[in-house]
Amino acid sequence: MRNSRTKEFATILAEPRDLLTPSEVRAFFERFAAARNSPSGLCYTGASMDRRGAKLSIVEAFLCLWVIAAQIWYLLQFGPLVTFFAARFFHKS
Amino acid sequence: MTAWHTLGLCTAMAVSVLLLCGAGATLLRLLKATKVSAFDTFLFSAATGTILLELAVSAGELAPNIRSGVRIAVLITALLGFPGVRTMFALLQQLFLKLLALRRTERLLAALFVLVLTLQGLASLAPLTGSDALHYHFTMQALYLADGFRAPWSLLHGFFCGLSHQLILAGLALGSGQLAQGWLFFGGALGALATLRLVQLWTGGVWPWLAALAFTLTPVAFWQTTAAGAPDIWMSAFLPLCLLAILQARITSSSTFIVLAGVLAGAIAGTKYTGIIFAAALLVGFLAAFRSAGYSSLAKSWLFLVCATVVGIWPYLRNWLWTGDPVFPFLFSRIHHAGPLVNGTALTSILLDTGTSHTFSLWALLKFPLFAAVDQSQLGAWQLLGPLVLVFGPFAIWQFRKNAEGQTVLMVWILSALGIGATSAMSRFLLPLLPVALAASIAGLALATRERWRLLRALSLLTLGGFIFAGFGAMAVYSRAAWSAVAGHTTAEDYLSANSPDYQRSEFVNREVERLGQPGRALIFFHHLYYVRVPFFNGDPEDSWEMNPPLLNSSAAWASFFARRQIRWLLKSPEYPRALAASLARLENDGVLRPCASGEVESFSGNRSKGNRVREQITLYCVQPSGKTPK
Repeated sequence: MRNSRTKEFATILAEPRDLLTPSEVRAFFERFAAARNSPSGLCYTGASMDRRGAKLSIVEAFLCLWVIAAQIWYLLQFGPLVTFFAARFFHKS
Repeated sequence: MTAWHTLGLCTAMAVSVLLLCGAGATLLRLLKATKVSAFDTFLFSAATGTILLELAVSAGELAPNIRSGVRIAVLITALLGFPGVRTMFALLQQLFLKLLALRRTERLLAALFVLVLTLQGLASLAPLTGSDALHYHFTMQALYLADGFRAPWSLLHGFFCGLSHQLILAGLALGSGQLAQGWLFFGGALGALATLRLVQLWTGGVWPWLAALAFTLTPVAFWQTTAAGAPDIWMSAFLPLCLLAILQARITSSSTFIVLAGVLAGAIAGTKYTGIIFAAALLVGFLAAFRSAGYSSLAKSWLFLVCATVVGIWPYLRNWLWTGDPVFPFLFSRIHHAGPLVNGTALTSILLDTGTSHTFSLWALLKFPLFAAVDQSQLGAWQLLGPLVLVFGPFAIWQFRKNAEGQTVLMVWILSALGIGATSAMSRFLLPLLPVALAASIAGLALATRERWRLLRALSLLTLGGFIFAGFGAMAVYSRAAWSAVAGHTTAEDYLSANSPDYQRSEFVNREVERLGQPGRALIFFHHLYYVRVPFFNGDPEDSWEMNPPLLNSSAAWASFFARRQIRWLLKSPEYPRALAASLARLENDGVLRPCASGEVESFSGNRSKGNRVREQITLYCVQPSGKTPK
């Protein structure tokens, strides 16, 4: 989290190309401070992550399991076919 | 085939596609359907231009000289395309600028997408090797051009030909089957672009590109886009575009987009008999979309229905006029399931082949919306629609269940999938739905993980990346022989000998019948007929109405058949069909059939994808005139 925050801060600082006026500098720091205090992290980038997302919830764990299990189940359906093509490919090469 | 030949084909393809899109753009301008984005205008133009060509060719094939009629139809469409070419250039320029403005990762994915489409386009230009294409998609159109537009009783699968087969007819009438193959590829490419556009309805960034790549690299999709030579792939473009038109019509409530949606639904229904299911689901989706928007939907649904009927009715009207059954032989088999003139062998075989006589299972049916139905009894690569809809489909249902646009999409997706499962139980018939299902699934995943579940998002991206990587590898392995042929490294002859089923049998019969140099037809029993250049009659009792085993049970019946159809030769390669073997062996013993030529050819044993080749004996028999038959 800390690294990503540092990166975001660096992005803010890197944004202005011209010399900033004092009010613009103040606005930047206010924006950063607001982002730090925001319950949902650096939300102004639109690509931020909910702080709850930092922890692995039971729902997420279940969904991850689903993603893996469904693929394995699907591939097992094609087991003989996949084995056949793999064997043929390696036999040829 | 040389690299210069390929380059010429690519140029012809590019010009013809530009004119098709131009014709579509002209039509859209006439319909006043112009207030949409550049991308939408391009997609709708390409689809409507193609439909226009299909309808024009349908009219052209009724001309006394079918070849001239079809050529005139193509010319008229091309002329209509000229006024729209400038619009197309402007649109393409806008799209190119948008591509340049993409972020780095998106630009990388866009470049990969263009690369994949280019590789698939090249593979599609290799000489035709797809099994169904060699059996009837291309053969039927070649027969129309050679013998005239008449009921295909000697190739019953010809009754399945629909609107998109007119692209093949047009290509062959212009003298290039490969141009027709290029147009079929364009259908697949348009389907991929429509997938991208559908995802953009809900989310942006990398997701639309990932969905489009996943579609193009799904094994069934790249098989149909490249080597299959099957016009069904056009449904994969028409269906998502019809949904986009419905959603656009819902927003604007304008008749223009209702007409466009109806035209696209009609094109889907006209492409293949399974298209009726998709068109019906689209009508339900249309009604639901308008009801949720609070519009009165009766007049609008009539407009939708009338446009769909006008565009899609031709293949059904043709079959009805020829057989009395618009969906021959499905209704016919229920009404006339027995009788002396009914070829029960052919009917049973077709019903089995199309899956209409499958055993019904509720559990198997429920797997269809998630693209998870796998028929273990006929396991083959043609069922590989990928696990992505199964894995991410639930996210789409969860995310879109309360959203009016999403509900329309879900309704069309689920109803169509259940319809296909209930009527045919063949998962590969779900391909037209894949753009919609993939787009909704991936967009659902993107929305569900937008602000949470980083690990799940990462795992899902890994899954998508893995699928795209594996798909690219599979495409490379599958298409490398085709690329070698289009690059001129392999001759067309060598490529076809190695990859096209029944090619050596076809070459044998071509060579020997031409050598004998007499009028008449050859009766042949093998499946892939496209490369037979000499006049022939299909002898397969499972696909030729007159080859009815109970009727062809005596020498007199055979003699009458030979005389009626001017059969002068008969090819045995290596055996006769089981149902006719006894009576034909009797003709050999009686001296009615005398060997004229024999040899050895190489052929595939079983399914081509298994790659088992065998050498077999092949014999051409001369049919003795009945007066010379020894007693």
